[in-house]
Amino acid sequence: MLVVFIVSTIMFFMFRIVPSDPTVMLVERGISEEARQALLERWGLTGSLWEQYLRYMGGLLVGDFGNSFFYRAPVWDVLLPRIVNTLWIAVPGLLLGALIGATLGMVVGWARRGGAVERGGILIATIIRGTPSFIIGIALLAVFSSWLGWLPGFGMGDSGGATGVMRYLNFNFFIHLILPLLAVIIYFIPENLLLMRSGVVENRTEDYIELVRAKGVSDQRVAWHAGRNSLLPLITWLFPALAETIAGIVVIEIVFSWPGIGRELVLAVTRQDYPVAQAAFFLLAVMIVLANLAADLTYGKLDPRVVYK
Amino acid sequence: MASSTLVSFISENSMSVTVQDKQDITSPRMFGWFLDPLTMLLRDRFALAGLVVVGVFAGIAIFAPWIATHPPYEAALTPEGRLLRLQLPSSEHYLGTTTFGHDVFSQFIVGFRVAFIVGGLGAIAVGIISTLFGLISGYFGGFIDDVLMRITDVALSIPTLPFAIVAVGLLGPSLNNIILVIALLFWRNGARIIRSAVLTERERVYVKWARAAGASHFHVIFRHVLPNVFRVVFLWVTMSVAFAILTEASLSFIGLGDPSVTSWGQMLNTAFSSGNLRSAWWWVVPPSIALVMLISSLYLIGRAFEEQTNPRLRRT
Amino acid sequence: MDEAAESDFDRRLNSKQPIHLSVKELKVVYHTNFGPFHAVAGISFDVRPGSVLGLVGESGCGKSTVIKALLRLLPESSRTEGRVLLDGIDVLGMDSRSLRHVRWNQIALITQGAMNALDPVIRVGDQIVESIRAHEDVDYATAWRRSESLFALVGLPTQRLREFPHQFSGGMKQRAVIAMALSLNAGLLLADEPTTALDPIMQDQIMSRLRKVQDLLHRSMILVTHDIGLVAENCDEVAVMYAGQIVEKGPVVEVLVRPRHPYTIGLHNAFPRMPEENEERPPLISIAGSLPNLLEPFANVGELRLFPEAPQLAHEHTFVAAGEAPPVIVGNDCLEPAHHVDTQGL
Repeated sequence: MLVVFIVSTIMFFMFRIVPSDPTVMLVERGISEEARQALLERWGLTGSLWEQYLRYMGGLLVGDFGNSFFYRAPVWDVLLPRIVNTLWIAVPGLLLGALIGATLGMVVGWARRGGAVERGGILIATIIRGTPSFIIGIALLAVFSSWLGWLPGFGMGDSGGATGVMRYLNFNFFIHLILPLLAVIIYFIPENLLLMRSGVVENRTEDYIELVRAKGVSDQRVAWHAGRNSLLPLITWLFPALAETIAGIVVIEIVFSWPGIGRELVLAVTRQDYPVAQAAFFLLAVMIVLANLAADLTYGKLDPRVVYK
Repeated sequence: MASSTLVSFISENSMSVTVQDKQDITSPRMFGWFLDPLTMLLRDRFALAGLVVVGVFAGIAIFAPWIATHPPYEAALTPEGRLLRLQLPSSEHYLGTTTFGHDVFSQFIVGFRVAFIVGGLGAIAVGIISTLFGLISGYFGGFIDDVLMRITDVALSIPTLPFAIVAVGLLGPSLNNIILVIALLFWRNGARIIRSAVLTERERVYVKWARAAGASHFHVIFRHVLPNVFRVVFLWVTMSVAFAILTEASLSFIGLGDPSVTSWGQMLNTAFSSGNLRSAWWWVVPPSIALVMLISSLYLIGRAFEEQTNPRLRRT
Repeated sequence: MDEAAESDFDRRLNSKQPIHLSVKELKVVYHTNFGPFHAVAGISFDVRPGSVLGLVGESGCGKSTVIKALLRLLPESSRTEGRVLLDGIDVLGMDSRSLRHVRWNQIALITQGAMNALDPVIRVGDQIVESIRAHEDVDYATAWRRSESLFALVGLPTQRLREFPHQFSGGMKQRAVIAMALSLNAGLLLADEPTTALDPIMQDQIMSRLRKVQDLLHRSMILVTHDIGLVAENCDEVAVMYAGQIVEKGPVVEVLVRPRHPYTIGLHNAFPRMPEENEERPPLISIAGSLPNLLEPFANVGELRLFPEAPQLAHEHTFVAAGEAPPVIVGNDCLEPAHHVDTQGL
């Protein structure tokens, strides 16, 4: 909570320190001085810096981010659908990526040290990890959209007038979802794979693994023990990786013109629409804090040694 | 008097320990901090391949102005004065031309230089900040450590690319600003890693011994602690080069790159925004492959380091 | 536990015969960056059905490697030669299927439980159930009931089966490990330093529990330890290991009362002993020098280390006379070719 507070404070001052007046672009369109003042007032840009700051923080507390300069609408109304769109690719993407990555990491970690599976796995995972997310996106677009022509790679598809939940529950939406989601999954796999692999490699020399082997259970079962124990460090290490992942999603949204919060952030910055940019950044930071909280809770579930009081 | 007795007591005490633990009394040899990691890397085949790629790329970056055949922003014209747009690779334009008639090969070659400038300067800045943070925090501990680590905690919850987008958007898209943002973003994890390395080092007998023998903090840090955490610093700097290049490429791709510079991300952005991403493969493929090769190579080097410094990962 | 289950349990416990283990010329070589490391250099010994063999030696002498070699648990970077015969069947030549069957069904392992021999994130009961169900086609509830009887056998409250290893004390973990080793009533138990990490009182409790179990079940057993006292109390025969070789073996009484090899004498003297009445407290003598470099294959055990105290000790015991080369491996029933002992040091 404190972290969120500090981040939003830094954010506020970052935007104010830069001397640029959003009304300038409107003034050029021949707006009158009175109208400009009225606009400034409506956007909370009058008064001293401290008054603005207090008003801004007060707004945050009640979930009011102010009004967008560009859309001429409350920021919250602009961003809410964008957040939902982002979650559509982020949540399944992260979960599937973690699942596939952890499974593959277990295989690579359990493979013979120095063998083809281990070396090949590490090499391929490192190369994919070294591939910027937009290049993953471009490659998917080139193969599935341009070359094979199987899937669309632009936007979310026509809503066909559907609103609410129905907006998302139609075939058109799903085929548009596939490529960006796939990009997020691929982007997220190698990190998980490599973390899981080192966890398994570290665990396979532990005493308890030796005893499990001595019990004469199948080799897969032994690997399962090592994998189960490696999940714990995986979850703690995921914390710093998470920030980077959300960063990766921003770029993927741009490549596929997916109208999510990351793309909106970039658009708002280029349009100098500060309330939107500020709020989008704030929400992304909140997402990171929430994801960490989720990681902590999952850890507690998976490790019997952790007791919450 | 009292203090000198204390010193002799401590040193006597440490002496008795050092007898049992001979390897611990002396700081490693003169250039060991530099040579040991290097020989370590040469033994790992992946890291070796990574070093070769980085070396070759660095060579191209250095000689870029002599390799490039055209000025990167010179529009190629037909004899009739018309723009040579989206030409396929030919003997005149090795990698064809862009939609504005620019020579792709020359832009691509100049991109090597940009990547190394961003990666190098960014990593140096990150290296200095995180080493200072880690050293001070880990070596002095106590209150200073608490304060610095709180700052790091807050910094760690800032989403990287969104921060970069906002900061570059506000400060203006220039190479200097991009490097500044990179330095602001990536010191934080490095500071933590280096701090914990310093913490272990500080508890070593020879460090205590040096202190007891009357060495100044400055001397102890630079003569004993720093050379021994160098391995960790080196690892983090290597990774930072990769992060810096990745961040610059992402920002440029989004359209927040320095417009006066032809980086690989910038090339891809131009191809993307002009709608030629799907057709002009000669324009898209070279910068993509170069980015992947360079960043992966840096990661491979970093991985070899991690593998060697973590005894639990070493092969038995 | 109802009566039917109990009788089933008893029947099962009595259904298997103890195993005759015969180890012949067992060699283990680790491949390291510095060349081959000869951890076990061709040793032979027998465990007669229902008897307990003590394997003693200091850390690094290869005794744990022997245990792991018997179960084929050694890392891939090692090479094992020789023969390990379980009632005449060679373990080392088995395919992985038969090996899985041998593990726990015929040879069970009691490791040092106090550390992390148990998987930290799985309930202790489930770990015992896992070992039962890996070999016998029984449902979960039956396996769980058996785990309960096993816990009762080692003196642990059955409700603790539902707990995780970190909720157990060191001694309880050790008991749980023993319970797990008994779960299939294997004919041969390998106890690898079962009490090393425990305090003396707990050690005593665990060992007396192990003795009770042994009296009840008559399993063949190898007890690995560096504690001669444990060997004296628990074993029928003893083999003394030094630098990858067995330097002396024979019945416990024979070897411990009248040790012949200088190393056994050293080991004997390095162990504290209660003085007899009117006797001066015997000096505690540590064994000088350090272990030889096993990267070099060697021929002469006696040359590997000097025993500064040995001359006088040897005369005290009058078993090794100066100038006379003593047989290195001495037992009541086997005399192997004597190795050369550097008598300068004696």
